[in-house]
Amino acid sequence: MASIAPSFPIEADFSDRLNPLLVKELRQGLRNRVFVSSFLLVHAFVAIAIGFETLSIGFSGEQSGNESWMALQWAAEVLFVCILLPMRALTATEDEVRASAPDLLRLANYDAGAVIFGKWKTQLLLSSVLLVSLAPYHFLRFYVGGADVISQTLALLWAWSESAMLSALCLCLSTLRVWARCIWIAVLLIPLWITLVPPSLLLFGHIDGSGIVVALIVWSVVWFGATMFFLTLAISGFDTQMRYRHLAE
Amino acid sequence: MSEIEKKTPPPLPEKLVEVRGLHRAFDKVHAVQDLSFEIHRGQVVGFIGANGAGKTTTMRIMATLDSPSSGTVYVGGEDVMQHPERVRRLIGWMPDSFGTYSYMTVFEYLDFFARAYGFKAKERAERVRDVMDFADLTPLAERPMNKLSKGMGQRLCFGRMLLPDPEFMILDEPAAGLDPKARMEFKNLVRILAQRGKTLFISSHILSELGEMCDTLLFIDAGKIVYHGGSEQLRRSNGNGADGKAQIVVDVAVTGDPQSPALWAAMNPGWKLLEQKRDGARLALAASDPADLAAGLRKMILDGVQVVEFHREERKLEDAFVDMIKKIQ
Repeated sequence: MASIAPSFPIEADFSDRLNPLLVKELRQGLRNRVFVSSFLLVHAFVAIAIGFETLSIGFSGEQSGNESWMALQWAAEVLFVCILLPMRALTATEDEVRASAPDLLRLANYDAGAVIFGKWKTQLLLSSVLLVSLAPYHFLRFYVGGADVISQTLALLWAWSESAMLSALCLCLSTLRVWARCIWIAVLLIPLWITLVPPSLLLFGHIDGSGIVVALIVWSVVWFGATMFFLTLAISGFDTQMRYRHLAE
Repeated sequence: MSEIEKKTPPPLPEKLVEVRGLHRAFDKVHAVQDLSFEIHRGQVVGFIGANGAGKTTTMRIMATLDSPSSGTVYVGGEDVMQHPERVRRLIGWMPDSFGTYSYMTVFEYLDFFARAYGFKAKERAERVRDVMDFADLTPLAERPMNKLSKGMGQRLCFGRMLLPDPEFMILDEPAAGLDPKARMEFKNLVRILAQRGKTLFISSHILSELGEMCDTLLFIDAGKIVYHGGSEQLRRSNGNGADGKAQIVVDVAVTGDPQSPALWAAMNPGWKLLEQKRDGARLALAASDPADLAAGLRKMILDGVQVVEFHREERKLEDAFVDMIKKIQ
């Protein structure tokens, strides 16, 4: 058959060094409507908040009293990173099954672990993309309002780590049947959000002092243990789907 | 290991696939029972059976996607159970169902699997381009997967199967749900692959199409092989393996007594009345020797029966299959 010159950028693409699953997930993730629209909304919201903050400093000449704007901006970031982004993973393995992909992935010698880790790493990268893209606003606030950049960066890292753990949990839940997933969302995910997100909102600009080191160590241990536990369950669940899904059809 | 290592493959044996005593049970249901057959390199084999006969189970085991309860399957001299990763380098698998990824184009889908199969940089670009040209997917390269028609989706699935350039391709109901044009295109693709010396194992319900495409047919019923041979041989067989009879069907016109064709058929051995119409009838004569058919037709004309039309009737593969199943039952 005659070869037609393709118009798509066949070589100007993701590097070969990246894991193919990561490339696939990033392509899908960066184009996902929920991600893109939320990303733009957060940026718009933060830009408006910073604008008002700058204006109020300009009018009043005081740098204090702008906490409300900062809190709003921080709330938008936390809601996106800790709630909206992990929610994307709630249907992650279901998407693979819907695409009849488990068999095809097995034939390409991918196991459940590779697939789940690929999806989890994509979640981390997407939350990183958002947080890095918001960094200029924080530096702007430092120059305009004299905000504590180190404290804010630590708070962002904290939110990022929460997002990673909640994404692992959502990946784990995605391997369950819809009714079981709904039950676990009600009894585990929502209570976790209630437990983790409000304190995170209060952290912004307040991470300092000697207690922070202890808090970070405790959090790291809890974070690592919980994340690995959820990922292991997710791998086990998806492995079962990969091997026995066809029997249910 | 996430990517397939590419090494110079050892020469493949002439018997590319050997299935010996294959048995697969799901609880008390025996999906496949004592199945044994061989497929030689370059053969195009049709795999036929009713729903639930054990086709997909057999194919999944051959594709390393399921494990047999007992028995062995060798592909390219490798045991599918012992060395699934080696077998996977030889096979292409086209499942009976095709799903789509959201937010992914046709090109990205093929590019993902090309990466997964270990193709790098320019080699990957060339491979994807070749496959898209072969399966006529180039005009669809930037189309989102969820905007493809059934036929386009099947072509994409077919293209994905071809990416690692497999020697042995297993296609589970590839033509199901396709319109006549898409079926014709698919048949052409299979023909080209067969000309290139590839070995194909195709399951389908459309027996006539398989008869045209395949060198050999394998019929499976209730988990057992009930026929293994050529399509012509099957058409000529009468269901128990012996050569059957050819048949001519004659349409005749009636001017006087409407019962006259029936009377004539009753008086001439071998003839039978198939259908009585208002202004004619349809008669049939079956005989092992074509000369007997010619003699029977000549006698009919000499007896004054008004022959309007006659034709030799080929037995359909579907009929042969149904007859065979009836005999077995």
